[in-house]
Amino acid sequence: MYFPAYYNGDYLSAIAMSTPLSGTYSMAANATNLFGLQYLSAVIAYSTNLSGQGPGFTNVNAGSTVTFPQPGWWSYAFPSVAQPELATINYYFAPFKYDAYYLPVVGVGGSPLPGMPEFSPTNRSPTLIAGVGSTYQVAGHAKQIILNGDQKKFGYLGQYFDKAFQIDTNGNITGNHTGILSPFGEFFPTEPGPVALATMPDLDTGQCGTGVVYAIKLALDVNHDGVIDLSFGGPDNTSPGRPFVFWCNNNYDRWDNDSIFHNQEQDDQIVASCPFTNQPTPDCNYRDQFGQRVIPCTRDLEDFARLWVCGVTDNLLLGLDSDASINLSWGDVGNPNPSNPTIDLFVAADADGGIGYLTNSTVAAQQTNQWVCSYVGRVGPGQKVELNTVQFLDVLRSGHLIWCGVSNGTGVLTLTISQGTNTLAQTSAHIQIQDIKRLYERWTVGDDPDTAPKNLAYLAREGDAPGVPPFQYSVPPAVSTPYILLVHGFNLEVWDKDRFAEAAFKRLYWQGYQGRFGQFRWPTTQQHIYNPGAFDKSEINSWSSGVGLLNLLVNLNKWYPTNVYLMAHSHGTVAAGEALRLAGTNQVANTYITMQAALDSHTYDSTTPMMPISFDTPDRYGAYYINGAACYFNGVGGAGNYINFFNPYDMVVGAIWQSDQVLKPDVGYSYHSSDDSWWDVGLILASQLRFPQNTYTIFSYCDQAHGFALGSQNNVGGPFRSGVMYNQIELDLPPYNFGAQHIYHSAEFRSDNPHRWQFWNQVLFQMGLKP
Amino acid sequence: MRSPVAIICGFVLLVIAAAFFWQLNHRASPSPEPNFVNTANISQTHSSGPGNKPDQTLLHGQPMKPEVAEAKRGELLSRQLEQRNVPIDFCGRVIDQDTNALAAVAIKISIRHWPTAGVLAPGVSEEIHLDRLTDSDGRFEVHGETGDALSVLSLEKQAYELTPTTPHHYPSSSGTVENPVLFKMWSTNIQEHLVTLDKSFRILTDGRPYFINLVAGTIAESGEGDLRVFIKYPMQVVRGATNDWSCRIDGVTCGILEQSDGSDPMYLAPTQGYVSSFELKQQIKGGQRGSTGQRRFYIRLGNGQEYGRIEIGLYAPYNYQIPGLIRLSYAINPSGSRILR
Repeated sequence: MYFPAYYNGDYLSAIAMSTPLSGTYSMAANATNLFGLQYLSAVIAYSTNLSGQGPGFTNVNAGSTVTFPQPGWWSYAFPSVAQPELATINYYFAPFKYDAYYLPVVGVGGSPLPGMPEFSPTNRSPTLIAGVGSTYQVAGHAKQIILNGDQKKFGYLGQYFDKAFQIDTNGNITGNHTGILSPFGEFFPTEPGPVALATMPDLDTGQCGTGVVYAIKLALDVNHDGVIDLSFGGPDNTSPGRPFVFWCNNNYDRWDNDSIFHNQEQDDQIVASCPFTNQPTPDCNYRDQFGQRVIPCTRDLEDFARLWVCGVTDNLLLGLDSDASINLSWGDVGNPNPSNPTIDLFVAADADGGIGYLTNSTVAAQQTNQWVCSYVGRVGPGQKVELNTVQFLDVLRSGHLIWCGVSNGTGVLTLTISQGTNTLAQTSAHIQIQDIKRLYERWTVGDDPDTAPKNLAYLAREGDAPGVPPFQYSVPPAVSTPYILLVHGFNLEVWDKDRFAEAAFKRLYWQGYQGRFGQFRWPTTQQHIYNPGAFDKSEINSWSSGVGLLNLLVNLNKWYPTNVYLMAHSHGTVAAGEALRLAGTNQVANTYITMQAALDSHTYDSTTPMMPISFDTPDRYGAYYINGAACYFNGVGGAGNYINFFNPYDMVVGAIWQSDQVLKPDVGYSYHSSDDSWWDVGLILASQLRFPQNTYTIFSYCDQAHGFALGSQNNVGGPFRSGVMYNQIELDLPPYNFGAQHIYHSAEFRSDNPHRWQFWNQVLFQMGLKP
Repeated sequence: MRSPVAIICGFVLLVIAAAFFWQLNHRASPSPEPNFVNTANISQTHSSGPGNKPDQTLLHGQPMKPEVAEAKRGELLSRQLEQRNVPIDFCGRVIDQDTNALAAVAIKISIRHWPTAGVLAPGVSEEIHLDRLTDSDGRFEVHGETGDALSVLSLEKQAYELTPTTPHHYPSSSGTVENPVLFKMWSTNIQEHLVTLDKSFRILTDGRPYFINLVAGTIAESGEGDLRVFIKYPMQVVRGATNDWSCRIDGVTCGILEQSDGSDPMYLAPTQGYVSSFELKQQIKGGQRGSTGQRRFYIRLGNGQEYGRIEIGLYAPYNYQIPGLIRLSYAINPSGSRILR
């Protein structure tokens, strides 16, 4: 820097020089510049003639006077000051953002930096907050005092960055590296939590600065394995192409009377109201009598997923101004995007944010208690839920929420931390809410009990929007993708069949099942079990559905070779057993699980105990179809493994089914022991029924089972025996504790997940899908 | 002379009559006894032998309308179910962890009872709820009711809790005064620090031994371990062909004692009866899964320095990707106490 010396004005005084006499220059002693650094001397450069040629030089020291050889000619003074002696007393870290011209700007996430007009040496480092998985630009400066100058003025020395370290829960910097950090302060957090960004050591002193960045993240259990993996690139991260897909909580989980049986049980109703409206209200809108949004029962919790707000620590909160906002939205506040979904958030009961609400009855009860776990709010298109309030401060600290889908859509759930209009940080998760009927396949061979089942199953479409094709999976991602097919039982209307299937789907999902799921519907009757005609008509419809089921299994094996798993409940075991028999030696199911099977155990093993009643018909299940022959399902090979889930106290297959067998032959049928003939009496003319062509009719209406129902019988041999072991699960014993009441015949679909998850866990283990 | 028309008409009538009598013959049983019943007899037909079964198409010898027949079926079903009711005779006894009688235990019981036809809809049971309090000898009984199943819904006594493996459902006649059904409750004050693990290990099934280290919760093909386990079963089999399947569990540093009573919670390890190994040999069809099932053992480590319980299941093949699987859960008391709770 130079100063004109030919003009005796303010220029020279700025560097403590003066011209006390014409042709002389003086420099004051002990004069200092703006930074308190002493002026030591000045070199005066001048032209040696009036034409400006030269230059010539002369030197003036502080406290001395020199005579200028060419007074009046052009001259300039170049002062020399003492070298500053700097010492770092602190570091200043701040986020910064560029504008279109790559210049740092203040606002929109950028803070004032040293050198900017908005910056003041009194500024303290702002709280640094970064979203996991996005680049965050940090500037670091060493704040230095001038030891030999004005110590009220500071120097700021830009820093290069070195490494990023994790900070433990006690606030101590660990030796563990985290994230990706460039020397220029570009930081890419890969996990939530406080991170120490260390600067490169000072060349002279080795001194380093450390800035703390709070990495925040919205975390979900995307692969629903019970563990929320916070690692970057782990299985629980979402992306536009891989959103967290979850179902809408639009069903009606409520306490019920179990029809005429008067056993209180939680179930999925066809429709139900809530106390506030007394109008049909799905669970996602359920309110108590005071209008408070509450969770209707613990069963409804299987429609909730977890959300962790990670990285919002006490220190982060303390670092924010009182008017700071922390909110959840779809990023469309003020400009609603109707394609975004709507979700409802509640405080999580699990202190650790775990899955106790799905597995532990005590935790589940707390979760549905609004005084323990309050409603946080609803996030729909254009809406936001403010979390930085006194009410939810503990929620922010724990970071544990549960949520359910209220309306369908796909969006980016965004956590925004802002100060006024300045967005400090954001983090997000991609979420897609769908109707559950768009998440599993619904195959049917017909649902009208008065119409014969079709031989080819087709996709059902009840509940789908008009014009929307029924849901069908795309090509499986791998040949090893498993497919579980559920066959329902007796006395279910179409909606009930779907709800049972959906309960199975949800509970398998929460056991971490990663494969695909479908149900097979067949035309069971929808009358009460005390109507024997309906019960036996249901049976023949189930037998007759075996062909359609087999064809479906064969088709599924084209897509999921050797990975189709079959499970059937109650009367559905008739169709399933028959399909596997018709398969011959072609294995169409990897594993077949019978659940509370309403089918004579003698069909598989004629040596199981006989029912203690007198029989009017021969045991054609155990000896098909002449005395001494093998049982009906002898040598079946349609499945690799057969597993029998049974309950000896099951009311339906243990009492009612038995009584129905006693009453066979049914109205309009008879058996003549004299010539071992079966008859359909008919209205005018009787016609003889013969094996094998009339087998289904004879079994359903005429022939009494001699053995106990498979679903109540232990130690059934045949395909259920492997080596010396019987492949069976006894459901009346712990941990299942299925009882003797009617509700327990379908217990796996009823009640709540905390009471039933052990069942579904066992299902997956027995299928070889959960080692 | 008779007209041909009359002859033809007569013949047609004869054919119709013959058909009618043939029908009647085939509706009825070939038994010499008439196969008709009236409503007064319905309740007595339950255990009738062949030939005495009610023909539900007929009432007083006349065909019934379908809806009447269905109603009768409902009534018959109710009567069938009603006959399942048998006198309830249940003798139980509640003891504590040291087999001392527990008095004043509050017990809630439910009996499944089938009501008389017409009381409830056919096929609908009713629950008879009873409360009992154990006497000074810990005993309680249920008599004087009828039904076909009894459920012990809960047992409550302050500072005690029922062992979680206790069955809750029983046949209508269970236990005797001499040999009552035992319910064991444990003092809630008895809580030991246990080392637990629940884990599965994937193994090969060519008979190679695996060593399980219970403390570390690890498995290795060599080195030290508390249990040595192998499964031998061909990893390539022909579907349907029978193959030898064998396995063995050896206690390397421990003895093992199998507990086959599933209702025993295994909260107290016995001092004696331990053996060095468990072995199972069987034959499995190719394509099926062979297993030991989940088996429960007490274990005694270091010649009695530590006790524990272990549930272990060996499976081969488990699935197409996993030729062999060891499913293991255990609880060890490192204090040396035999209490495993």
